[in-house]
Amino acid sequence: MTTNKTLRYFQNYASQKPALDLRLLIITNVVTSTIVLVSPQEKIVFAAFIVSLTALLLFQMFWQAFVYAFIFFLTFFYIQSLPLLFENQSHMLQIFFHLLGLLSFFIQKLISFVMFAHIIFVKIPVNYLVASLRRMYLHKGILLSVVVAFRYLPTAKAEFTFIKNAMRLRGIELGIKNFIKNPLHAIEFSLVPLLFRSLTVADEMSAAATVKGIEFADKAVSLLPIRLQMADYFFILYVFSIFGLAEIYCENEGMVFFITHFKNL
Amino acid sequence: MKLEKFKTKDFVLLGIITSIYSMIYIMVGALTAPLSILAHALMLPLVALFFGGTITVFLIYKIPKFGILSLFSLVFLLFFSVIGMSYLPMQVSTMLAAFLGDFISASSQYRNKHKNALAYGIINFGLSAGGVIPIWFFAQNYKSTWAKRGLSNSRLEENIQFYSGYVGVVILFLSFLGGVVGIYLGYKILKKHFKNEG
Repeated sequence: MTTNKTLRYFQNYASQKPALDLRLLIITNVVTSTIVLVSPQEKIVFAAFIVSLTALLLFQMFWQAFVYAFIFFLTFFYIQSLPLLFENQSHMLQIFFHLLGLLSFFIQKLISFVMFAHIIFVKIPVNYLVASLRRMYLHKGILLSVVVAFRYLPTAKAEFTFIKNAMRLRGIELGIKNFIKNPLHAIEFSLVPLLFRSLTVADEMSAAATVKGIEFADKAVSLLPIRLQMADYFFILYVFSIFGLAEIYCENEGMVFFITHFKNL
Repeated sequence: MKLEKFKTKDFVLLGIITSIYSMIYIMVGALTAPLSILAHALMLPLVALFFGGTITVFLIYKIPKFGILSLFSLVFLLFFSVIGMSYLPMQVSTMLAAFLGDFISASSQYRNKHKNALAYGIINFGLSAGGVIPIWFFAQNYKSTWAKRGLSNSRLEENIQFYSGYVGVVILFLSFLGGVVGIYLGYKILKKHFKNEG
């Protein structure tokens, strides 16, 4: 009976498993963002975009994928159509177009890791996060800090609402209007209670953590299967092949190559 | 310089304070999400001025142990890289600045107001530099992309160079200033409360 229960619990846990491993997502994000940052070529930006779009689709975030693709291609076609916009314009307007082009360029470079951020923020459950972090050989105290930071985030929001209500009871409104009118008072009445409240919470939380064995010196075991699976290996292969194909086959600046060819056809 | 060991409670408090700091960042950053790094660089001085300074003063008042500033930066960066905002130049520059800030602040046991202000200013400068310097790099990339298509207009290029350089220097300076003034502001805000606590 009890084994059945344990098994069901385990299966329930395992069924929440995200489509890709969290550690893989983080490492892919670091690597692609660094490559995109260093490389001046447009094809690399495209490859990074395709990789992150695939990751979004794997996590079944279709609507978000559509929005990001829309933004990306909007900036792309803006930069493509710049030469047309430039004809017969005044100097000031040309500078404006150029600055807008620079902005589009930033968006293209940054969008791929904003997409990864979106996936991790929306689709990774907190228990998975903790279990994955534990496997990353971090210092125990630092791990504790990071985990507490995640755990406290919703609580901090709730506490802020309590403080807001308490201040309203005393006739002090905390809003953007009052912040602009007297920022020092607004900070004193919102941030300071939050900070001093955190002292009590820290006492309680560290007591709870000690009881649950945070100071245990040996390796902790997790119920969650944090392991690279078939999908993860395929994803690694996929990332390498996308960047490799971009490097080998697109000699003339990625998509620009295709578009000029379409024009010629 | 006295080396003390961090206890479990210190790590928990550090986590909670990082959470509050990050919450403010996320709240301010949500307004400017699509332009993350650029907007981050722009909003950083303001966040540091009004919130970061007070939070840092509180933290180093409660945990005056060597390495607290670098630990704070490390946890903050780790938090953001787990969320997905892992941005290598920013991490490197911030950690370097945080080490420097720790040495400055620890030379008087984290009790000297002016040294703390300087340290936090440096940390903010590092955080900002990680965001701004790649932008200069991007501008270079952008120009080379144009030159490759045979569309070089030297006057325009000079203009862009000027704007991006000018804005970058202003952001760097403002974030340093924001950090320094933020600490003084934090001491002013928290003075009364620390006195009550004893």
